[in-house]
Amino acid sequence: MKTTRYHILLALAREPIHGAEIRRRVEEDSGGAVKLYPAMLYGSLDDLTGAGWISEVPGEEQPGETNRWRFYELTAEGRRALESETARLAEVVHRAQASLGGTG
Amino acid sequence: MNPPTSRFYRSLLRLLPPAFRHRHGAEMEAVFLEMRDEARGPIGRAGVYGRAVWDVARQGSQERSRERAARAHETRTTRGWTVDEIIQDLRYSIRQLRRRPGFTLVLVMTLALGIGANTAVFSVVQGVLLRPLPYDNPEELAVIWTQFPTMDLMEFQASPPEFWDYQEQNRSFAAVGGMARREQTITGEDNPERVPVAFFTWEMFEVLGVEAAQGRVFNEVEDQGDAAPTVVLSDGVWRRRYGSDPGIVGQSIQINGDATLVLGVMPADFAFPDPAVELWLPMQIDRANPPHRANHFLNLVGRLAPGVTMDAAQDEIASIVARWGEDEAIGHTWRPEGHPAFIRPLHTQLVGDVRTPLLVLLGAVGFVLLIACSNVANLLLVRGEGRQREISIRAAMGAGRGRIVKLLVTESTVMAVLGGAAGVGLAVLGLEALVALAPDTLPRVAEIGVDRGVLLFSGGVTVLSGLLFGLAPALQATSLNIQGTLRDEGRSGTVSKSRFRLRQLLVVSEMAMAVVLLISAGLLMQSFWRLNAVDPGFRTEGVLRMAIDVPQTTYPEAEDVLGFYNELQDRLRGLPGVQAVSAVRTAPLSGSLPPNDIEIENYEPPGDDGAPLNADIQIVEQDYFQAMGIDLVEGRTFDHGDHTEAEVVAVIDEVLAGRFFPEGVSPVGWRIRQPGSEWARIIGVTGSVLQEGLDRDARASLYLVHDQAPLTWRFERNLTLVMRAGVDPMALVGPARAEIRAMHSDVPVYRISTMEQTVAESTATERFSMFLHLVFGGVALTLAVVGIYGVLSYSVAQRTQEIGIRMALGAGRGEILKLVVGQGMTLVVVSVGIGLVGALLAGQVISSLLFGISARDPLTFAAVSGLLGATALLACWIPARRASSVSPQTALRQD
Repeated sequence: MKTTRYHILLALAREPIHGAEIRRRVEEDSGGAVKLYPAMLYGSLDDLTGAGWISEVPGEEQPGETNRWRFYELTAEGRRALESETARLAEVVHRAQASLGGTG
Repeated sequence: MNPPTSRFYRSLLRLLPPAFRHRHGAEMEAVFLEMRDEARGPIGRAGVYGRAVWDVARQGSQERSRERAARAHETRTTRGWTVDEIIQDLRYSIRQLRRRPGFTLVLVMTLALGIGANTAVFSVVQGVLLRPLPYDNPEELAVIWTQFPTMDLMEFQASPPEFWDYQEQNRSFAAVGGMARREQTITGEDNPERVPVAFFTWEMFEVLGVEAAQGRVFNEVEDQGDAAPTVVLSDGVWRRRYGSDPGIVGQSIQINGDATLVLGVMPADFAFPDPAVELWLPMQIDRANPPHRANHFLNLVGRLAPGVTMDAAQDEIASIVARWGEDEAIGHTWRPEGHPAFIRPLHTQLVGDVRTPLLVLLGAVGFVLLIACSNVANLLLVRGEGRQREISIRAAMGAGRGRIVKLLVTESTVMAVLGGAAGVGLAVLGLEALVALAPDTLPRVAEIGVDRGVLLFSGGVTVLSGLLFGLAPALQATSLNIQGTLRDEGRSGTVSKSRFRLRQLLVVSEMAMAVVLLISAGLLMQSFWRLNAVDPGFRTEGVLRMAIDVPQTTYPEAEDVLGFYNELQDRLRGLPGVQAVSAVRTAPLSGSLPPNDIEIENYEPPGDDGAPLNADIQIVEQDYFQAMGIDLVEGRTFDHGDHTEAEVVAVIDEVLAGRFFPEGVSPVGWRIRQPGSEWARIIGVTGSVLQEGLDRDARASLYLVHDQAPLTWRFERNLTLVMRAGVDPMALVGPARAEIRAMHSDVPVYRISTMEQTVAESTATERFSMFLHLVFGGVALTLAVVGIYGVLSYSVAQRTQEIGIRMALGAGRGEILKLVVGQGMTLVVVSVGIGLVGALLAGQVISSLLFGISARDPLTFAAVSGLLGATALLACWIPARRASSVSPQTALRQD
């Protein structure tokens, strides 16, 4: 799974949020390593929607914002994908640590 | 908020497909602004702007390709290039072309020239060589030739007994027919007319598988020796002479004064053995009293039996002839292997002589097209440089390389199609001229035309040209570094070296091809000159010739005919301006005479093969040698004392004298004859005359005087009158006709021309070939010179700055001139080198078309190299002058 997609799924894990918030959380979660520029962000959101891992939810009016933001939530399938990818990454990290410990 | 920033991002969003933009645009803008605000310092902000542009461009390209894929799926078009795109590309291409009408015109005309020339020449090739003969299963038809190798007769007719033997003994042919091409006179109405005819044995129509359009053809009974005269008319004579009267079938017309029943009219497209034939007459050979086996006058055509190959038929014919040789009773030839036979497919027979010249011509126009394509490609490359920015922007907007190549190829295809259409138009016009120029000897001329096959060919050539000249510039144009171009704004300094190298390559190949074409044209031209410089053995200027046929009805006997000719000659001698009058059986350069066996009294020919002596027998009136201006070598020529009552005399030519009389032995005084006739004493030896063509050797000739011909040969009803005039010989036509008419109103006069025209006609094929090659060579040279001029001018424009620096550093004008001219001439030298090698290879093909000159003639090679070099030097000089007049200040200020 592409890093950007993993991070988007991760950002949506707790609650439905909109694009700008996703961008912020991804940057935060990745420690600033993953910067989602708008076209990439919304392209990926379209892709993930198309794949059935996330879906759009009717959002609430945001005070002070002129835009009507679209909110996204994780689907059951998206959650399973996120979990299995997380497990895979954990395994990778585990092995990496073992290797590094072994050689270092 | 920040209006300029918003505006920037919104316009950036236009790179995205509309659906995506409408759905996410507002949110994207908000996110972008947020990111920009988060960035620290001007450098950080600039980074955000840059990455935002990259982000949108990349996504745009992805989204569009995804859209395209989806649409391709919907419309089920070819993968990667949808109907929508094609229409879009076409529209855009047409707009582009209309924006620069001059440029487009030059390109389209260059292509039209190339495609037009190819279409025209291919029409000829198609009509003459490729289209099947208009008979049923034409591939089954073959001609059967006999040979007399010892007499150098490699394609000779068969005699009736041989013909009958073939018919009875062979199993390879389902049917064999015999034919003889002659002339006959249609009389009985006001204007007697001498027309080409073909005598057919009745099987011939069956062999060819043709039937009459009206009425019928003759049958076996009507072909018998004692049958009444019948005739089948050609469509042409039926329309022309009989006003397309359908009632003519069943009526009688007068042929040579005999009432002849018209059995039918052939279809318009029936033209066997050639289109000139106007009547088909039954051969009517008398089987009860058959001609001698040595009497060879039949051209045989056979139709192979089903499943039999040409090779098998050839083997069988050979074995039949071998059997004849073993059979003493047949008394076939003096040696069994002395008279072989062979077969040849009819199509090959009809087109064999023109096959090579036509294919060479097709090759030449192919080169012209390649040169035209190179030139167009070059022009497109130049313009491609002007379009770099446009292409870069397209690329930035997410158009993939393939997409841009497709667009550019569409443009070139549109141009090619315009050029192709104009080319076909040119071809239709040019073809008329081409057919008009074509020599009469070109077979199947009537079948030449722009038909579906030709259009298909032109279409193919057009598309191929479009790809050829469009693809290279397109690939070049898209291989450039997009960011580099955007940054430099397409400044002149950044043109890649490889692109320029491609242009040089094109120019080199153009010039090399021009060298090949020009050398071929030069060789053909010299060959033609040499052919024309051949001494035909007579003085060509000032001689009028006209053939007549003395009608049997009024002049039945030999003395009547001889009397007619003598009186006519006396009358003609009285015309003002006439210096000499005579007549001859077949005028020089007007076709071969069948060779005859001859004997010399008390003389055994040298050599051990026992081959009988043979010679062409010419029947002439007394003053023939004076009228034609043929040199007397020894003795005397005929005079008016040589008549029936006097001693029978003969004149021979140098070839005959040299072949049969050893050196030091004068032929004068010996007696000579054709077997069975009276001996004729040789009174003189004359120079030899070319009978069959300027490129053929003179044949041994025996001249007999017409007044004595009843004793030595036979009298001739139709002779060709020759008149030497002090004035313009064509001015004699009217008065001469009047004299003939005054003697008898029913004498046809035909084949009227001067001997000079006869000589010219005998080289018509060569003239045609040479003329076309010169035209194509000229076009090639022009295009190639334009090409090198273009490349050098461009190079000079590109190097203005460099030249300025050089001059600022003290280089003189001369050095700059030398620099540019040197650059151009390097290309020229390379091209000429390649071209010379190409010409050596091409020479192997055209050598069979050359007369008296080697295909590797060093003078021609040198002259063409010099011509091209000089022309190219001129083309280099102009840009070089421009370069040397560059002012350093201006050049350096330029950018």
